[in-house]
Amino acid sequence: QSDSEDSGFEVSDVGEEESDAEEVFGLELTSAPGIETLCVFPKNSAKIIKAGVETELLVGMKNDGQSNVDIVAVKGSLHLPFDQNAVQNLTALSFSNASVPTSAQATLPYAFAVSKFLQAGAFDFVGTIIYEIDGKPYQSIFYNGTIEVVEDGPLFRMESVFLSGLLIFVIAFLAIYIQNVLKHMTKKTKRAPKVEVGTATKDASHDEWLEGTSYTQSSSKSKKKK
Amino acid sequence: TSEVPFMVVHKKATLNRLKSGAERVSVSYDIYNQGSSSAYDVTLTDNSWDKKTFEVVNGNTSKSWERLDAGGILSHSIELEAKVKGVFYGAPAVVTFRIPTKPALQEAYSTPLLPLDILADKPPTKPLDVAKRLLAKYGSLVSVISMVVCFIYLVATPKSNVSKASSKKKR
Repeated sequence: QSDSEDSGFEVSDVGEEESDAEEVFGLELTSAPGIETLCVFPKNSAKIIKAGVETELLVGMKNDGQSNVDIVAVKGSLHLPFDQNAVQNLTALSFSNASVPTSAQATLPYAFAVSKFLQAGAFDFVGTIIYEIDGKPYQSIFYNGTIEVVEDGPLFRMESVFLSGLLIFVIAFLAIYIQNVLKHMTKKTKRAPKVEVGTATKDASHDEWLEGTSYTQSSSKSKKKK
Repeated sequence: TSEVPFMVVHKKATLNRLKSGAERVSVSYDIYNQGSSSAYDVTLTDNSWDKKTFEVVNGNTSKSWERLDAGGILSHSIELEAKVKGVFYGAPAVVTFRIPTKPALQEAYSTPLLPLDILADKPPTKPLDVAKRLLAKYGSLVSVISMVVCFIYLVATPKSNVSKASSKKKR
């Protein structure tokens, strides 16, 4: 992956503390001849970045030029896929004593953390390395592509807990409703034998409830008259 | 440009405190060939571990491979025991390799090491700090679960009262 010139890229990181880096950041820099850069996401070929969790990537630099290269800083920014406005300027990592001799290659670590309130999705990540050759500053873009930001959360999140609680409540409500329906059906079946019992009251003389009452006496009187 | 290998070397160190009070340093090296051709006679050499400060317990500080194809990964790890207390600044490891187009050995440097605080005194952990950390970490989760459980309990309780009242009416 060859380096590419970036004349349109503007740096607006005001929070940088190092004075050397601040001078360099204000200029529009180009890449030096003979310098190649690339980027490796270690053990992360899908380029998935968890929001709020520190992610480390490796910046490779090859010096095929005539002089030593002094590394100044590595920085990155996050952009929307359809818009080149920076969503988040990532922390710039400054090096005070890093150099790459001629005809050699070097690897630099770059650790950053995407804001944990960032919505999950695809973003454009632009990584830039700033270096000096014989006192003159240069910059190269080591990565300009899409990364996938995912949410990092615990196994139980508030939303999941509420949704599962609501599901449990709905299931319990359905169970109680079905029980009520079953009770209603059993009541209906109970009424039918009552009707059968009612038909048996025609034979009043054999009903144990009416034994010894005036109704039985009147019925016996009617029998005597006959 | 011509097809050449591009070595990205990742050097990582982890401190492990043993129960006996000794401290082990686990160092891992990952070599990625991100170029477009193979590298031959790949040799990893790490001379940054001073013998007065560290003793090699497992593994070797030098390792050689015959070939590393484009897109391939090689891994190596060693384990050292720390002998001297203090902050240690490690230099990058060096990977030398050959390419067919050049007679000289090519060099690739690994990532530098962050300062290692070896045999540091551990501050005693206060139970109040542990409780604060646990509360900050799991407090919201516990409160949400308890709210949901209370809601379910409140919804389920009046049913038994209604059934009692209906049974009383029947009597």
